[in-house]
Amino acid sequence: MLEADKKGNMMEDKKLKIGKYEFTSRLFVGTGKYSTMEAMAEALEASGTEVVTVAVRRVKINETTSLLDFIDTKKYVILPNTAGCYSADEAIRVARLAREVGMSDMVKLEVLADERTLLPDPIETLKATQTLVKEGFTVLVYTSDDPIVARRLEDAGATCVMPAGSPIGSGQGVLNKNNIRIILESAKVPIIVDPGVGTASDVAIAMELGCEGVLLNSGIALAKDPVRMAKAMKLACESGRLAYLSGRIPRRLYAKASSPEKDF
Amino acid sequence: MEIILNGETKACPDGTTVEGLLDLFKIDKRRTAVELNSHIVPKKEFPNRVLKDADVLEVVTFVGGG
Repeated sequence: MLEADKKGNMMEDKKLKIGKYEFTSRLFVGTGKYSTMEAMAEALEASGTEVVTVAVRRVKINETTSLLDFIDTKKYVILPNTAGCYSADEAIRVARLAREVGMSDMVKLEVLADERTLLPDPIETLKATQTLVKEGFTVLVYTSDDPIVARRLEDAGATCVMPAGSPIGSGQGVLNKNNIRIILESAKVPIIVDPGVGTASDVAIAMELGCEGVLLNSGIALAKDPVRMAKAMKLACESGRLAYLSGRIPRRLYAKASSPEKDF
Repeated sequence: MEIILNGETKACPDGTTVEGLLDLFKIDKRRTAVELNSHIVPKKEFPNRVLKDADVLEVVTFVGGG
């Protein structure tokens, strides 16, 4: 249950469980698009995240610096993605390679339908989920906000379902709160809103709806001041979570006075 | 002999192993996964897997991504 300490700073909350992993922070942060690796490292720190997403790509021969020089793998759990894959087969191949690197058996599965929308292909996503679950991966799967597809992915054994708030990199926030509510109503696995976050209030909204977490990248990486924005996202995530746990008042059409209406 | 490494033709001595090749090109094997002719080579097999002429290798690592 919820409890405030005497200074009112930290509130107790249960940990976020993703399969065998447990996290205190509910913000997952990407490592792409930062102006420098140093800026990325600083933003990750400010965000308080415990899970960072990475992409899998060919090694560049003669390249002297590596992303992993800037990520403390004792501190952060690595969540490799299958970004850029347009079929189940491609995504499965990338997931297997990612696991073989030997840092994590988690995969952020994304199987895209086309380059213009970057929307997920639900059929290929489901096929890839089935295979990767069978192979023992901890599958966190990117999907649209369609409640039926989300349910089918859960049924297929996904450890976590990650509906889009809005298109990848669009910064439009959570466009269809009702769909997220419907997904949350029946989900038995953690629901983490993945792409579309533009600013702190978008994170807060997702958390107030009752999502278990939020994953974002561009919203921090492309902000004018990524470190400050990372801090804003952290606070929004905690704030939205607390508001959700606190149980908000119902919306009313008419006013209701806060002060006594008689005896003056 | 010549092999294809990440799409580029490279020369290496006969008898080179996967591990030998990674060392030759200064690739950090702790942070990579290797596919040889479309099949993953488990890390523990790196020291013993000997390459042949015209082998195709894909060596991947983690880069920034969301």
